[in-house]
Amino acid sequence: MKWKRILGLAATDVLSRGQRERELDAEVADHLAREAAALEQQGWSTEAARQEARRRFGSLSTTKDEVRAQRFGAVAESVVRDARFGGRWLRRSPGFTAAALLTLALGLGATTAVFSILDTVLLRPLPYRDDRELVTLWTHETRVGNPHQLVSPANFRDWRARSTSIKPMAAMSYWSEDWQGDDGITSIDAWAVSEDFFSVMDRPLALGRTFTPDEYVTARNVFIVTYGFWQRQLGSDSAAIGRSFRTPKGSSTLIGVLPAGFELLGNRDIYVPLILPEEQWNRRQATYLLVAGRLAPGATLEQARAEAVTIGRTLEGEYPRENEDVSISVTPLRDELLREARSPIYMLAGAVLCLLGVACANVANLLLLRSLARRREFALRSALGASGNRLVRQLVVESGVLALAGGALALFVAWGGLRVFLALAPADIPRLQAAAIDGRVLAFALAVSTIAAIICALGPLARVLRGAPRDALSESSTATTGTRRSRASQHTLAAVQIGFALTLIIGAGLLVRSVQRLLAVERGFDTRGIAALTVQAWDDYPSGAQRIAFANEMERRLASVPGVTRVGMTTALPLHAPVGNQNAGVVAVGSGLTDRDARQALAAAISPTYFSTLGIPLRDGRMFTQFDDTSSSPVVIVNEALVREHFAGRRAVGERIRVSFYGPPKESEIVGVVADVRHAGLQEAPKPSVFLPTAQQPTGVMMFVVKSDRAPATLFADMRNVLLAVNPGLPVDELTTADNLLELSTRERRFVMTLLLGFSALALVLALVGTYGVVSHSMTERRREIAVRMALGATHQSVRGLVLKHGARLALAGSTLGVLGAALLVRLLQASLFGISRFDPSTYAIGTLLVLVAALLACIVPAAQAVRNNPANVLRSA
Amino acid sequence: MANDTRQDLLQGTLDLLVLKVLSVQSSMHGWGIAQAIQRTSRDTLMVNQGSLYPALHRLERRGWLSAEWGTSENNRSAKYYRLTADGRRALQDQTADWERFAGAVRLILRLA
Repeated sequence: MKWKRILGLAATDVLSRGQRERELDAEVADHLAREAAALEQQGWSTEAARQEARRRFGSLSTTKDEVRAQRFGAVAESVVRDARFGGRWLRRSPGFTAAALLTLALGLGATTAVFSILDTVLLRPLPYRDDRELVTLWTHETRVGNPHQLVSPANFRDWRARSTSIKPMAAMSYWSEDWQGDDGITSIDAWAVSEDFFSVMDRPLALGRTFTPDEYVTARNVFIVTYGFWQRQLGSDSAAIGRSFRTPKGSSTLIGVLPAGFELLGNRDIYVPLILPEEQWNRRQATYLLVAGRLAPGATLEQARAEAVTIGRTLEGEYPRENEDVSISVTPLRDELLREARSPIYMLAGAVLCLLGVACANVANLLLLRSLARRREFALRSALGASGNRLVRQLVVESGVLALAGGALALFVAWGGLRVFLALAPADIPRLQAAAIDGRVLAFALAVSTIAAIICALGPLARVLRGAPRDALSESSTATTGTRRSRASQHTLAAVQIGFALTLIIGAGLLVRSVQRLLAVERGFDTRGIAALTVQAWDDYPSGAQRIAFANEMERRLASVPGVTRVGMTTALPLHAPVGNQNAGVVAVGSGLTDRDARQALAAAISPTYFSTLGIPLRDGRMFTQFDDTSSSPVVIVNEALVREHFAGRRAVGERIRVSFYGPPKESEIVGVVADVRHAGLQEAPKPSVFLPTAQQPTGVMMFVVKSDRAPATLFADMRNVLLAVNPGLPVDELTTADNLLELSTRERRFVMTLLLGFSALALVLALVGTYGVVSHSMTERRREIAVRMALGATHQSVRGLVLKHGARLALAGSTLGVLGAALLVRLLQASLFGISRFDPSTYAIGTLLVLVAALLACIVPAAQAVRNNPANVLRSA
Repeated sequence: MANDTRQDLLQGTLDLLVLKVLSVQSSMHGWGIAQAIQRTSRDTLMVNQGSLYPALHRLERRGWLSAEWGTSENNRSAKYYRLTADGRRALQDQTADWERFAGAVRLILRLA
């Protein structure tokens, strides 16, 4: 009975607000009528009684408000009312609203876009089942302290057979799959994967099936593609399963399509079975496999690591020569994949938070200015009985309306911004291209908008909570200045904006200078006019003599291409990702050291003309000649870094070193010393390097380097034709230019730099608008003071000086904040800085100067306005 | 009118008084309740309308009062409040609480 009644009340409260209002009106009217009637009986006149009844009742609206507050759902209802009021208020001042919305949309939009990237790349689980169980295994060369070497086939086979805590385990190898088109062979980057690869990753295919055990043994004639490839290239046609495609050696059948989101590892879209000849499976020193596995049920990473060390030690005992100082390191797959991506994304996140800070401070300032304009409204409402709570709630709801509208606009900005980011981003950030505005991102945008609303409301809130209504009401429009406190908070907010903007500018400036220095660094080789063609000729030319003959023929024909001035060949091109083995152990003969103490050096087999093609100068001794071949004694050329490391600067030509490159250590004589080259990236100091004549060390990897006076990319067709003429069955592994490699090597830095520059420009504009707003507002407030000054003889110039001084004070305070902020935040940039300290004084100085000048520019308009008013008019108008 | 002898109600006692008044007279409107309190206290207790109506609505939503609409003598619609069974129990509890409190205050005043 009781509950039924209360539920009935609640239903009417919520559903029929109108009826409740009418009832309340009726009840109050009844009360007033009775009171008036009683007064009339005491002898009051009708009209006087009515007025007295009304007076005795007190504030009608306050009473009604309090009655309403008793109703069910009262809080929600009043929020809706406040929101409507806020909406009306925003519509009434379109200029303010547009400025605030635009600022919020930019700040929130950029933040949302960056979050979408951060979420997709770093936070989401990998597209494999239970990705926390996935690990990668590496050859750990304990002697040189390199825990990240690829794995040799024989070691992989033994690890897989012996491990109990990592099961299943699979290997993958970079591959390039060739296709016979009508106009020749094209080759597409692929992964060759061993048995169990698909059970390690453990996601059902979208279509078709994985490889059968037989297919890992027989000829390679089946393949699987990624979902993206299937959509783009095969038109999402499910009939494509079972279709055969022509290859140079016959045909290959598409048997499966991977699930969507699997495209994680580089841009490789094709998977084929890893099939190695038996002799390869016995190789223990040629390391070229990537190994991944899944922790067995119940096994932990620590157990797997302990077991790996044990297995490594056992194998070292069994194969003391090949596996000397070789252990196994185990790392989570997730860490491996995302390591490179973390730093640029964290940089972006830091930068975008600065931008958001500027935007919030800007909107907070706008709201504060508005609240000053509304202080009489608030004072009046407060005097009429609106409680402090009530006003606070209204302010929060109003700024909430603003922030949510801004947040909605921000989604468009985020959508567009994300397109721009993705277009600029380096391709090697895993799954970046999958970033999109989805439910999680929407939830994030909503949360950030809410927080922004609260932050923006803080300034006006503080005013309301502190404000004594009587002061504001009695404050006449003739007062010369605003309250000291409100001006202080406006100025703080403007300074904060300038500070955040300067922090961003300094960050961007440091990156710009890093990129400049990186490009200006002594590379040690010439990139102009250089094109390179890579082939992998292991299977096609099994013997060394065949490889040498093939390489000579290629060089001869490439040299006759029109425009080509020089041709050389190497197995390791500077700035190029490693293809095959590029490492050798080196120990100087006569140093008293054994092969156990050999130190890692970069190694390449080269043709005699390689150095002259790339313009790498000889410092001592001689270059290789055509006579350095299998019939002569082994010779090597080393770089200056190797001389420094092994010979402590003594003359190295004529000395002998033992080099183990693709095989057991071989004693060789140093015949020449060349200049250092930044091989592994412009930011990496040159590593000790050793070069062997390809005639004495013929390997399957061949990079033909061509220098010409033509634009290098126009040579591609000619180079392809040369290969076609020498061996039509051998695919092109890669065609590239040195300039392209140079570009790629700085791409990530330039990506972050470009975005930081963009954010800085936005932040600077917002901060200047903010500064303009504050200075201009304060000049309006001080117009009487200025009028008095001018009436008393102040010159235009001195008034303008007053305004500019005002702006300069703001800018100086802001710059101090900005420099402090930068000193704290550029830590995030550390990994991307090159050749410059993160406290580089000139960058800080130039950034600060820029901000100061810009802030003064923002004050020019208010300064001009300040002197334009006729003092007589101003004084009279009050 | 001896304004200086009038008392504003102590916080929280309004509910008690409303319940009590309604336990004596079964059905009353807001103005009548205010009058009853004033009259019975011989004009010592002033009921502020600003708190009377919120209190009435609060007690109604708590289930201690029920309300019905009727027609006043002058043909206006008027809202009449009535004590529910829950309200009667609440009145007993609150009366006991008040007696205890007032007794305690009296004791202290006598001692001091």
